[in-house]
Amino acid sequence: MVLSESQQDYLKIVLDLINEKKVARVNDIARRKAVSMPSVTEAMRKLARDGFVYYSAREFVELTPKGLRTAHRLCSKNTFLKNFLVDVLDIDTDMAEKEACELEHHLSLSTLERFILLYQFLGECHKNNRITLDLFKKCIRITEGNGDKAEECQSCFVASNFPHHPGKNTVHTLLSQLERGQEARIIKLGPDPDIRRKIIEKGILPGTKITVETVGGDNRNFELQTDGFLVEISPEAADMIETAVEQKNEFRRLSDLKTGQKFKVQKIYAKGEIRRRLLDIGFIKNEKGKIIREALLKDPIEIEIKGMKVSLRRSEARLICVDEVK
Amino acid sequence: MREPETNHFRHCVRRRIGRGKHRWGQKRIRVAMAGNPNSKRIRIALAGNPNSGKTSIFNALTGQRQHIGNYPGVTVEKKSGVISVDGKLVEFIDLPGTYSLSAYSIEEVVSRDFVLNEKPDVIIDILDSTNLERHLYLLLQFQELGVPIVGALNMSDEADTKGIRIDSEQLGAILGIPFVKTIGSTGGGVDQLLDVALKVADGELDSNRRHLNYGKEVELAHNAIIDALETDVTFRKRYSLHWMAIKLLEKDQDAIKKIKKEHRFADTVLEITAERQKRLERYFQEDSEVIIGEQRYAYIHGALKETVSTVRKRKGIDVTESIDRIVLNRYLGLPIFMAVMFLIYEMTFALGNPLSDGISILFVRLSRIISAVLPAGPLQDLLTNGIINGVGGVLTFLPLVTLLFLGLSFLEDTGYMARAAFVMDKLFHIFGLHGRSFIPFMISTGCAVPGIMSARVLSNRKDRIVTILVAPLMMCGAKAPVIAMLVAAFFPEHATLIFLGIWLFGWVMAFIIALIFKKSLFRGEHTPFVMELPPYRRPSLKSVIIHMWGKASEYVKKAGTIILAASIVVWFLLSYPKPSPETIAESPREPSVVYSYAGRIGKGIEPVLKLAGFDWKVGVSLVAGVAAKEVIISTFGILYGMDNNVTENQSHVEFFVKDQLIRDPAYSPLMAFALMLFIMIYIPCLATLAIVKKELGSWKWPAFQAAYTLLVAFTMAVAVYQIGGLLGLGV
Ligand SMILES: Nc1nc2c(ncn2[C@@H]2O[C@H](COP(=O)(O)OP(=O)(O)OP(=O)(O)O)[C@@H](O)[C@H]2O)c(=O)[nH]1
Ligand SMILES: [Mg+2]
Repeated sequence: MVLSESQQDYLKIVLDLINEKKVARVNDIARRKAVSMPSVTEAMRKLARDGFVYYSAREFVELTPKGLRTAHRLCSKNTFLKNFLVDVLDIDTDMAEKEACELEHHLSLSTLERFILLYQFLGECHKNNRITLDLFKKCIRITEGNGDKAEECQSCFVASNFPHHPGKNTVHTLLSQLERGQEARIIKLGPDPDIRRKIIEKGILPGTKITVETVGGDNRNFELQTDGFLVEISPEAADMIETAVEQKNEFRRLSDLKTGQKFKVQKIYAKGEIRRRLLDIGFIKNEKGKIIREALLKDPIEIEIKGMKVSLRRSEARLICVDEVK
Repeated sequence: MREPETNHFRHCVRRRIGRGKHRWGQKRIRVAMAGNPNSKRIRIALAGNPNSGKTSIFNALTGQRQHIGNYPGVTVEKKSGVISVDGKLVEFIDLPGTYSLSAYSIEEVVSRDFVLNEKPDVIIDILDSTNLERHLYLLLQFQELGVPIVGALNMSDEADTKGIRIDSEQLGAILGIPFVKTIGSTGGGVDQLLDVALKVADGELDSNRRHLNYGKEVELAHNAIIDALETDVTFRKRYSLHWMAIKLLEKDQDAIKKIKKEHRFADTVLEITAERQKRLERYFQEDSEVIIGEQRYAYIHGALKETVSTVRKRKGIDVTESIDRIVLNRYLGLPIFMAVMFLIYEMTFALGNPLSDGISILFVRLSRIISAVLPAGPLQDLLTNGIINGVGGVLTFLPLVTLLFLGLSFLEDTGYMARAAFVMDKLFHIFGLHGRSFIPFMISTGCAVPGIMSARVLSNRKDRIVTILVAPLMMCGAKAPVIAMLVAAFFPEHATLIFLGIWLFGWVMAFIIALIFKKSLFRGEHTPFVMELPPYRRPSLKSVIIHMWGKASEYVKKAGTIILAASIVVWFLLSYPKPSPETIAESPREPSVVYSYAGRIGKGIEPVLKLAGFDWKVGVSLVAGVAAKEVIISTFGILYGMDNNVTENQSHVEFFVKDQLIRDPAYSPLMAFALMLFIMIYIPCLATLAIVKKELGSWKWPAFQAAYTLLVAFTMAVAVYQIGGLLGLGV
């Protein structure tokens, strides 16, 4: 099923609108694409027939899972190309936006991949003062070839010597190291071409913002959310993706609070028996409590929670995330 | 609760069986069952959070005397008692307290398994009325199991004084469960509770018709899992699917294990569960077990809003908090704790020692009478030197044990024990132990036997084993005189200092060895310290006495059995074979012990003992000392040819032995020092070994304990003697 350019545009607009306003109305779509309402209606009927959207006359347009998938892929591609044009080729933003829209319809996957590699290469390797086309080509050859996969280019791709360019408030880590619920921006895709292509196909490109939904491992896939769309990637792939994580002001640990301070439980990091115990004893999200006192060596501590006095070791309190309450 | 007909009911309708001892009840019931095989027994389980008063209610219902204490985790095994009501047999089962049905610690597993596998007819959930929010959490889980439940709103007296008013009718209507207000400590409301429970068992009263609605999303997931579970017909019959599905959503390990083992389509079930969990977690942005917990609490919160109101009677001070402010003060906590322990210790020995002396004089008298009545010979010897010496020796400690436990039960009932653990935990945790280990340690410095019995306060079995294994390394009442005598004989200038040093040595060794055990044999996760600090309560004289009595009778029983046997064996070893008349004629000065088995053993192991500087006399005394440490002195006395019938005056013996030891050229201060270290550590006395077996349930443990202590003691003694010799110290 090949979508026409304009159909692709429609899908993207619908997704944009859904992300912005929660719903996509026909008149909004018409305004955005600068076409008349009837032509939108017509186009929507067609898309609905092909299974991309749910649409019946006069109602909102909703994306089917298939539509969502396609639209999402288109959007991430578009964003990437725009970044590429702006960052690498120094084209001004308006132009880049327009060009990206045109480009994206005509790029094959393999070409797109090259663009991505170039983006990464130029973005990260210039510090070595070796920005020559030769090197760039070599770089591609190496990762494409099956032999000494990526040995030489290790540091250009996903490497272990993080952080490369830690921003002011960002830390670089492998995607596989992220915790559930963490948000991150994709920085680089790793050296293995097969896996890389799969990642790109799923719409995970440099610059894409993701939220980790499920942490994988062993045989379980990672699940990432990007723009409300869910993507699964294998653990191997997660090991090949470098991400930048904004460092937020984390919740405080219960063990960091002082005597007399009140708190609200946020999260329990403990596992196994301790986790169960804490949950059972009432360390439930948003439960309020107070630190009453600590023993001689500041350990253990006494806490009041759910109308009960409980003593905890400091090492156990460290596993509880809290918000301070005044 | 104090309705007039209650008493009438008690007298006319109910005939209690097994008032008094637990075993009695069991025995009588077995008879009853045999006589009337058709009588169906109604089984009622008493469950609830720790320290909610389950055992108090159990005792009130059955007339038993199970141990009650004001800290969580008193009951560690299930106990049952049977009464007969209107000719029907009703069995009550007192369960250890749990916070939820996802059991981790052993005693929680006991409760959970009982409720799950044995399917009691009714569960009485004992709730603390002053903190219903938390206590109803468990009740909701029982409700999911689909077993009929009766809620006992216990501690209603405390709720009254706090001005908490509970509309039990309304609460019952909301939750679909009958509630009864009770006061466990006095037995108030218990008859009504029994009445309601029996009605529920008969189906006269409805209970448990409702399940908590977890909200649309969770219910959808829940139903999907139930559908998956239903595919296996046998599984469907065995478990409450409703409950199983919730447990799966809660990621309960035990439920997952059960599915894997018993469900025919385990893979599908788990797959569907995982998928549903994921969806829920995405929706709520939270772990599924947390979601379920939150929903339960939200539900409880709603139910309580309509039924519980708090009227501030007067702005009373929070007694518990005011006491804790002093007792748990960062700097005062430890000294106060030490003082409390010291006081109990002092009280025990100040009051107990005269009593002990009295008992020992009694036994001496007895042995005199026997000597006078019976003709001299093996029988007289066995009775006086064997049995009376051995059993009597142990019984002399009875007053000490009883008093010690009197003090400790008093502390237990007030609620101070949990505080003591709080104060001591850090220090003990460094050595891999739990704060509560302090209690057995401290008591062991008086006598290891009650010390080891008190190790029951430790709920984790590994902690308990380690504590029991090292507790006898402390200086105890029996080692003290031996050490004191040796110190006086060989280190007269620095007597106090050396004695204190040896005393400390016991503690240090106990800690070090505990750490080694924890790091090697008993590795594993630290048990969480998460522990409730109950409000202080006024101890009831009754339960203190009951507890004390229990311990004392256990102790006496032990003296009558294992110690009796052991003393006969030791007596035999020390007296047989008798020297032949010729040998006596040859060397009349030699005591006859030399020719006994014990003497031979002593001589036999002398070459080994020589490494530590000990000669055969020391060897024999040490062998005899395994029976009881104080015997070391009297054995020395015998070996030096003292007539053992004048042993009435203990200080006289000590003086005599001391004198002999100083004069004996074979003994140097260095050897005496090695000997003291050896005595501190080596094999615990027979009474201790016997109680270890009883507490840990297998001879493996006392055997191991004897072996390791002997090894450590000998290594230490040899090292001290050899190194000291090389350095030329005290030779
Ligand atoms: N004021 C008051 N105290 C009570 C009542 N019921 C029990 N207690 C006290 O509460 C404490 C705990 O009682 P237990 O019966 O040992 O509690 P439990 O539920 O068996 O405890 P565990 O076996 O540790 O789970 C004791 O100090 C009792 O004397 C009551 O109704 N009112
Ligand atoms: Mg109990």
